[in-house]
Amino acid sequence: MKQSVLDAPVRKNLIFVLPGLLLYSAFVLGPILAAIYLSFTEWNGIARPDFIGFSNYLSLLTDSNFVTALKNNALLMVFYCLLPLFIGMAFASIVRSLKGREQMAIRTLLFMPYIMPSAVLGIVWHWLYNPAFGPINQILKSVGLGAIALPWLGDFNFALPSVGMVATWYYCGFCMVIFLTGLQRLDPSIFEAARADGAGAAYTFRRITLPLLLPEIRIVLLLTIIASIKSFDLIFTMTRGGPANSTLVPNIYMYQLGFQLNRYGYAAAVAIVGAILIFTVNYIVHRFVRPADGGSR
Amino acid sequence: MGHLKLQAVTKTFGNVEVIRATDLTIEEGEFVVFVGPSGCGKSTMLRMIAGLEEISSGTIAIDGRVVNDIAPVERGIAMVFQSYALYPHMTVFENIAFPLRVAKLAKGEVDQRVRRAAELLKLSDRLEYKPGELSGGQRQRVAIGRAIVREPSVFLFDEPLSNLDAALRSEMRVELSRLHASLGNTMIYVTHDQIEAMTMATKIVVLRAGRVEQVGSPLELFHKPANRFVAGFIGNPTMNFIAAEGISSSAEGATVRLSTGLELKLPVNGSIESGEALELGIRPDDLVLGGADAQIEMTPEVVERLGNQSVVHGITKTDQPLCAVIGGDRPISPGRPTRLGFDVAKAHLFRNDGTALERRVDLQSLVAD
Ligand SMILES: Nc1ncnc2c1ncn2[C@@H]1O[C@H](COP(=O)(O)OP(=O)(O)O)[C@@H](O)[C@H]1O
Ligand SMILES: [Mg+2]
Repeated sequence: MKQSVLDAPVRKNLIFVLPGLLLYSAFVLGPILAAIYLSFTEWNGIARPDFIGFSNYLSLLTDSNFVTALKNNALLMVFYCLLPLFIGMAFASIVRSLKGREQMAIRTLLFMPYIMPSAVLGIVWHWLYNPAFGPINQILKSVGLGAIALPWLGDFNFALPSVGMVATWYYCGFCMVIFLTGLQRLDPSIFEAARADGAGAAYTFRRITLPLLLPEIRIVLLLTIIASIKSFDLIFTMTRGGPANSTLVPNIYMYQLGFQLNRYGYAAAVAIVGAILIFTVNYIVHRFVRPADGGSR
Repeated sequence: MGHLKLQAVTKTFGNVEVIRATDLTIEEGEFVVFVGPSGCGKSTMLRMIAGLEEISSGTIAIDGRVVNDIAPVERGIAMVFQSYALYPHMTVFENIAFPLRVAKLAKGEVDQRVRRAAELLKLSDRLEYKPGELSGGQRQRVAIGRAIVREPSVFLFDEPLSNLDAALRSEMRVELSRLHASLGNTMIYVTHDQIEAMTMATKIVVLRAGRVEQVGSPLELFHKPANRFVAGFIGNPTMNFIAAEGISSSAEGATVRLSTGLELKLPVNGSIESGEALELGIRPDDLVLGGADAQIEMTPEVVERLGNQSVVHGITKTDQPLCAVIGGDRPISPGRPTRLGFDVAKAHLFRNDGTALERRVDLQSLVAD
């Protein structure tokens, strides 16, 4: 048999992986380990970090700002995960029934937000939402709905949903594309068979489409949940967590703690809790949203 | 139940006429096979009968009722798809039960019907499996089971065997014929494989480019093809066609001269003109080694030895390609010129436009014992 260089012992082949491994260690693994270490210390960014054990984590439990941030994040998940999931699925089934160029055009339009940096979109929407001269309120006023032309991002009750709607708008095109590929994966004659057997649209969706799209639903949930817990740039550019912490999420809180209050140890603890949350929620999704078809019984 | 009548049915996609005006009557209990090359409109025809595709004009009647605007489920048909179209996330039981669940049948009834179908199709011990765990043949049987439980008056099959390997295919052919015999329903079966058509059909409909070329029993199509296309499509290996020139016609038949120079008198009906361009057709199986009424010299190029017979591909002196099927024990080898002969009564004659001059064959005597 022909010997390839890759047939050499593993430790010799490590040399090929080394450059990547070095970069990874320097920029990913290192910071993660450093953050874990920092979360057990008190550090103002200048002096030596003081090791204080689990104190940061214990304080977090009773930190009302952190609890608010978690609650806000939970609510944001509706806008980041659930709404895009449903809207994306609806879009996918509509777009699928279109033909050729129209389909292409609409698919592209709906996917467009996703290819833009979300920080840019945050700035754009900040302007769109502007209470005085923003187009949204201008339009509302011009059609005689001035009464509901609220200061969207400045209103304690509406700031979070307003930010959330932008996230929904951002992610539903993405979800649609994933579901479109999912629908393409399915054998079209399955749907014809169902039709020939007399199954209506709702019945077909519930008994066939939905269960067969579970793999895509799972991917969409995993990705949007990660995005929601990591959410920072949209919120930072639109509200910075305000007004009165009504859009505060863990990552914004972490930013404030670290870069405004110089409490790096405490901020690191917030980051670690966020990471643990991501792992936990994803594990749950992984465990309970299971593809129903094929393979093992 | 299961009588079908198509009247002037057409189908156009955009401005392409995929099915030309078609009239067809299918009697109750027949096993009708639509056969034709890929893209000729077989599936489209079947899907129009099923109601999955709207017809552009004409009428389709099932059991005397016009079904043009009636949903598939109310037409009394059941369809088996080429890709099986099984629901991958459901067990075999649920797959077969699906149409009954849609129809909201009582649980006991569903159970009973599914088990009866499973027994008929030898699937009883696979009911709790998912389609992904079954072999191709078993999946096909599940698809058939799903059609059976609906107790339709007409079964529609769209190339159901084309995803199976050769051995399984011939096994399933026999099973389908057996199923037809035991159920007695009308079956309409689409295939591009003329062997499936010949072996299973009671009636074959040959389609080409959206047009019905001929309708008839398998033997009728084989022995009395209406035109050159049908003659070439039915039968394997394909019929040999040799250019010929008309000389005269009389009560005994037509006299022609082959491009090889040979002059023959063929027992066919219809008159030909002197000098008319014609084509003689002779099936490879009807060519024999050595002498007969008519003789052609051929130089074999390729000899495919199948054991019981040998398929010989060769060329005549006038560069006319020729194929012959001879006994497997007869001596023949590539490169050595060989004399072939055939019985003029076995030959077919086609006009320039492809239509056949009718052969004098008594079909009754072919099937009687
Ligand atoms: N939905 C469609 N739109 C446009 N053309 C179609 C459509 N379905 C089939 N055709 C065309 O109709 C012709 C017949 O197709 P089909 O009935 O599938 O052939 P086959 O005999 O192989 O089953 C083909 O030329 C095909 O391209
Ligand atoms: Mg087809």
